Amino acid sequence: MTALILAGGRSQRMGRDKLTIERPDGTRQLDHLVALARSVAAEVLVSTNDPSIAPAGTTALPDRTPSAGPLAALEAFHAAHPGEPVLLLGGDLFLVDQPTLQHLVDSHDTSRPATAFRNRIDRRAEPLCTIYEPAALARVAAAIAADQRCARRFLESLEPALLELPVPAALDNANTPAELDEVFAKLRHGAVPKTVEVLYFAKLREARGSDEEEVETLACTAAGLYEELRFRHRLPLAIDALRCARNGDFCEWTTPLEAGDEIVFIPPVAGG
Amino acid sequence: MSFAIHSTAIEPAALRAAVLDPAAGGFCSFEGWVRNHHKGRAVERLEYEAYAPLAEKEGRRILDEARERFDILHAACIHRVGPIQIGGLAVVVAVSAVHRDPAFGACRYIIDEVKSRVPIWKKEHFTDGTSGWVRCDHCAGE
Repeated sequence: MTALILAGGRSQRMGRDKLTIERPDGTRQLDHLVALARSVAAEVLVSTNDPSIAPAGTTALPDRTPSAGPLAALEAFHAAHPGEPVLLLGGDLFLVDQPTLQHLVDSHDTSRPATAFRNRIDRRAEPLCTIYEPAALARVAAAIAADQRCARRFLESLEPALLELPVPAALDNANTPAELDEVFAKLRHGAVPKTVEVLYFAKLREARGSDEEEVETLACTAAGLYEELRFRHRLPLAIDALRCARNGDFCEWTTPLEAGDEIVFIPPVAGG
Repeated sequence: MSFAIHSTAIEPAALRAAVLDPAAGGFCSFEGWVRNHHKGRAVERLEYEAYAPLAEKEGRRILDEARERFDILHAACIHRVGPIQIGGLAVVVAVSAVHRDPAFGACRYIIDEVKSRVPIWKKEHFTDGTSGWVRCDHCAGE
């Protein structure tokens, strides 16, 4: 198996390159992913147009099509390694671990175009911790030519074999500083299920269709909880438009959640 | 009375009475009224809602800050929630002081802070049948 790590993203919402972020244990995210990938793959490639960032022992794989995201990486891989499958890994997977990759490699079904995990919340296929077989890779160039840019929709079009995540939070990713706080909290404290009470007001109440719910969550912070709920219920407000409150007073987004907390996400206020 | 969220009509006279003081030489109040237009569109009514426990807590903090920043005697504020028709009172601030300057200053401070910090939301219902949450309908993420 060959692993391909995505390192070509612009990390705009994070405000800095995700692959150079130092993890709680002091290792750089890219080096961490390379070491993980090595545990299941004989060869590790790094998808980047800047060969200088590829760590020792890995090979940089530049895109052939600019601005086509993960599909461009798959296209470049197929051109360089025709007939070979690839394990594609997103650079923003701060929680992916060895048992998860091992399960994917051990369970992958070569009779299907791809093998992927189900997202723990919406149950849809996750495209960036996925094994793509040559049959799938042969379809990438046509998808790009048809202006397909969404890796998830491409993967779903392949009708992949779908696996349950052995470690539920393993594919929680981080694209913003608040999400990074959340994944770091999970790395430090573990992703332990807890139940909290969430109150909804105004626009969020209408979008959720309810003013109150009990939520079982793996989130460690208020920010992580909001992102879970936003994803689950398609809530219309971005986290940076909101404030949050815990047990009746304003709190920071990084505030650790405890079982039984009452959490309120506060849309922009407009009294008077 | 200091800061309260009410779901029934606000009585301005009650706020005035709450800040009466024989030492006061000046009284200043602000009333926020529901008007029939917003940004060129005809408004039929407004609807307010609040996260009441935190709204009252934050409102009391604002009144405490006003007493620290301005040389006033008393301050009170009531904000209404629920549907309010045109001309109705949405919010009333009342301040008494020995002299008029701090009364004006504190009154202005309180209404500005209430509008920007207290978890109260306002939905506009327009005469054309549409509606929208003020300050929320153009937020990032839409």
